[in-house]
Amino acid sequence: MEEKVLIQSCIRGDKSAQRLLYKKFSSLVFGICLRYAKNRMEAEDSMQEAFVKIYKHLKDYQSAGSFEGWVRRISVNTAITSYRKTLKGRLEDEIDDRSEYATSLVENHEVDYTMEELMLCVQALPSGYRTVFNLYAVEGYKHKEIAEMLEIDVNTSKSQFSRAKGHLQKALLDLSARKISFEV
Amino acid sequence: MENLMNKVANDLKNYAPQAPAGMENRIQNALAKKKSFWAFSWYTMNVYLVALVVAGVLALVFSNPSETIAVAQNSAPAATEVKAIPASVVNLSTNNNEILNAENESKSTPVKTTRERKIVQEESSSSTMVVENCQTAVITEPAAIEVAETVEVQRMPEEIQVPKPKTEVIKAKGRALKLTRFTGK
Repeated sequence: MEEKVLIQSCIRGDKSAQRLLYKKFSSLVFGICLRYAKNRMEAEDSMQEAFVKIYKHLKDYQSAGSFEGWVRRISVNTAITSYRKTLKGRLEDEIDDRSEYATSLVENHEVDYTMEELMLCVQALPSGYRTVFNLYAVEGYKHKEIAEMLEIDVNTSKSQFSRAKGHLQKALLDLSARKISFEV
Repeated sequence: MENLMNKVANDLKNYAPQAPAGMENRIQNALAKKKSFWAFSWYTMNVYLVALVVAGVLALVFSNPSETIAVAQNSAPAATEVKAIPASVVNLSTNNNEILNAENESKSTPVKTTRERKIVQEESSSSTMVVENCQTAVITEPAAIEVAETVEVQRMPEEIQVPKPKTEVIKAKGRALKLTRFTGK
């Protein structure tokens, strides 16, 4: 079924069309939700919320941009909203100097990982670091935009990204080191 | 290091895992729940109907007509009691012009009536009875008869015309005058 027809059918409340739409974009949405969530359960909740939003706001979609981009944006916004909800009343400022240490080590090593392992490493990041890292490195937003989206300072965004990178590198290095020792 | 980060970012961007089983049903259920409050459904319609019927029954129970009749019957004597007030006042006024004047004053200016009452209370205890009967709001039939009996001894208002405080004042003045006279002499 053509995308426009599929969208129109979904707007009319056609269940089979909604099923098709789900099949087409469920993996993409779930992948995004997994990246921003702390664990699988949180990701499932976020995915449900994202799909409800997609179905409800389908009539607002203007076919100027790609539909996949629109779905991606809604998923990211839903993830940010849930991040903001979890952040309420909680001051997260985990600062350590592991990043410097990790940077020097990673340069000399070949890091190998599976997607599941990488996802676990990303999910292990503090939620602020994880969100900024995803928005900057994966979605391609600028620090100014991220600062506006998350209602934080630009410098905070920069520092959080830097720390997120350090954390991730350290985690991947530890992972590969464990793999090497296991092989030996 | 930058290569690693680029690789990680690319891998994450293209990561599209299989969605968990049963997620579709969960989403459909969530969609059904998120329907508008005003959206029509037979279930909600039935709830509204039941609520309306219950409200009607309650309204009927609380607006029982037998109760209103009983209230009206109870309120009738109270109304006659109120009507008894002017009658007693008239009886008093026919016997004594002074009391009538006081009563008229009490109608126009309540402050003046209180003054009158004070004077009478100072004079004698029987006069307070009369004036109090004039003043009180609720006077029953027997009370009116009592007032009529006491009205026969209605010379007290005349006594009011000659109040004692005035004489005392005059005496005080007289003394002063006398003193001046003495000194004048």
